[in-house]
Amino acid sequence: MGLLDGKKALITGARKGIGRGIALTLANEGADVGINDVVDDEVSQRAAELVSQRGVKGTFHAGDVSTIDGINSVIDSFLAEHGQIDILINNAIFPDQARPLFDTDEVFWDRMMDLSLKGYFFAAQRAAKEMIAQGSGGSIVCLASVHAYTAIEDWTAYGTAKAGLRRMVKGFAIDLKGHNINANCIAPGAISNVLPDEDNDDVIDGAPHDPSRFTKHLPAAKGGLPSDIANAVLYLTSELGQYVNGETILVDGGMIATKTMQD
Amino acid sequence: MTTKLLEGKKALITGSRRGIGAGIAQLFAEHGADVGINDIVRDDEADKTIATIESLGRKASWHQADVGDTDDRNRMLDEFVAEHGRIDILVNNAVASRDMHFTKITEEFWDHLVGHALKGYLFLAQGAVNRMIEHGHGGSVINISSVHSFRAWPHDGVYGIVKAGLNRMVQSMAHDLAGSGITANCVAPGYIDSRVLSEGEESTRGDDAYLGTAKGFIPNHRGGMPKDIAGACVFLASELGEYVNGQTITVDGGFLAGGVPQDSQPLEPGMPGAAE
Repeated sequence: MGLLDGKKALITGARKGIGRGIALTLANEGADVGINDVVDDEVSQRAAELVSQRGVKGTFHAGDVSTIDGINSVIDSFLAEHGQIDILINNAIFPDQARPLFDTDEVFWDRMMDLSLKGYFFAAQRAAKEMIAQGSGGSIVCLASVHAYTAIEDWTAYGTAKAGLRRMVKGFAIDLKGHNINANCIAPGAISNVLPDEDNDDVIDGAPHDPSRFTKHLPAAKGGLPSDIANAVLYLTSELGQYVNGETILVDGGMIATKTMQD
Repeated sequence: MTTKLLEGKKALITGSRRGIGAGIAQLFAEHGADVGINDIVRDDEADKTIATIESLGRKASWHQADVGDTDDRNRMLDEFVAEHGRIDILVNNAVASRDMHFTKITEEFWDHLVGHALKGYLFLAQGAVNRMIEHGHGGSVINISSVHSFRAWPHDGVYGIVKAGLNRMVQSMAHDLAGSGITANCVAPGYIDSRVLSEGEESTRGDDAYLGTAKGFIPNHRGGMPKDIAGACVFLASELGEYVNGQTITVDGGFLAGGVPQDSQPLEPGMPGAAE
């Protein structure tokens, strides 16, 4: 018995890392969870198994959510298994998101925007369409970033996409008026870079973030963990956060509030 | 309630005899917290709120105090710690404001509102934080801010300035309390149905009769309710929100997400932001 009993949640990019942390947290609170990733391997299957072990339904849906065809195929597959979609978490991102300004070519730019802005938009649009047809409301959460608030060297393309998401959820809030669907962003700060994987797979959190670089300046005096992000997602998707809409919640230990991060 | 997020926590909520404050106290108790109820007067509403907390199997202590008064604040914190052993959570919520056109703002009104809702909040937070540090187990301070901290409505100058100050206050608290395990955040409500209702009328909370004008421009298609603000407070005060710090979370059903001024409808007298 939990905060999300009976809900059906799809999480993109959830094979490992923060996405997997979100999947396991929502499963712990009673949601059936679909794991999406572009990589289909033992680790992906393991993520779905870890969901099932929590007494809820866990499924895996391979697909590239940077294209509309990929998005539709993933959501079709999810609906075939779960019958409906109550929660969409747009989380997928590729590794190595930083790129110096003059090394940012059209290929990198398009790849960034296709996945983390266009992909998030059309996944949310499709999910919202399903939620409206179902008539029982729903929740959409996009993973933004502290990079949506502040410029850090070499992160312009990523930060631009993430800033776009902050505006995007406001548009979804307004345009979905009256359908009982809330759309919000979570903006993580420095989150553990030693994430759950095949060697560390039944816990939500990996090892704490190396405190020496970013986190010693943070008010929280520690790096964040996937569970911190997952818990914020849980808040927004549960009854507790139903009236939060079009908002971005920073989960950064106070990094942006205090401007103390030095790198 | 199966998932209890505040089991055993000790929470003081100011201005909690009714309305949003009472809603926060009730949801905190449902999540396993013992609570301190504060207000400037004790009346039937205060008694009812205390009885509700006790019916949930939690302890409710009563603290009659004016948060604008230094002696009252200190006495309340001492009383609370004497009753509960420590303080884990402070929710600064108490406020009584009124609308005043910019050209008519009086020094008396400024001093009153700033003294209660900015100075009072700061020094109550300071007193609570010092006790949390002494206890050594961290804690959480939550200021109830407002959508008025971000935008201007008619005649809301002093109120908006005070609320904007609270948003900035928690940023400094996050900075200066680094490493203490204490977080400080604001919750900014939009239109909330915080009426005092009899038991028979309670089921009408959030209905169109009260916030019907607002409903048209609120994406969630309903006025907010005390439980919505309480939900954000539970998030911030519990393990769920422990990495959120120095933040202001808007809980307005999407009200501030969009629109231009001409979308706004005239407000009924007595509604937040309505002209006198």
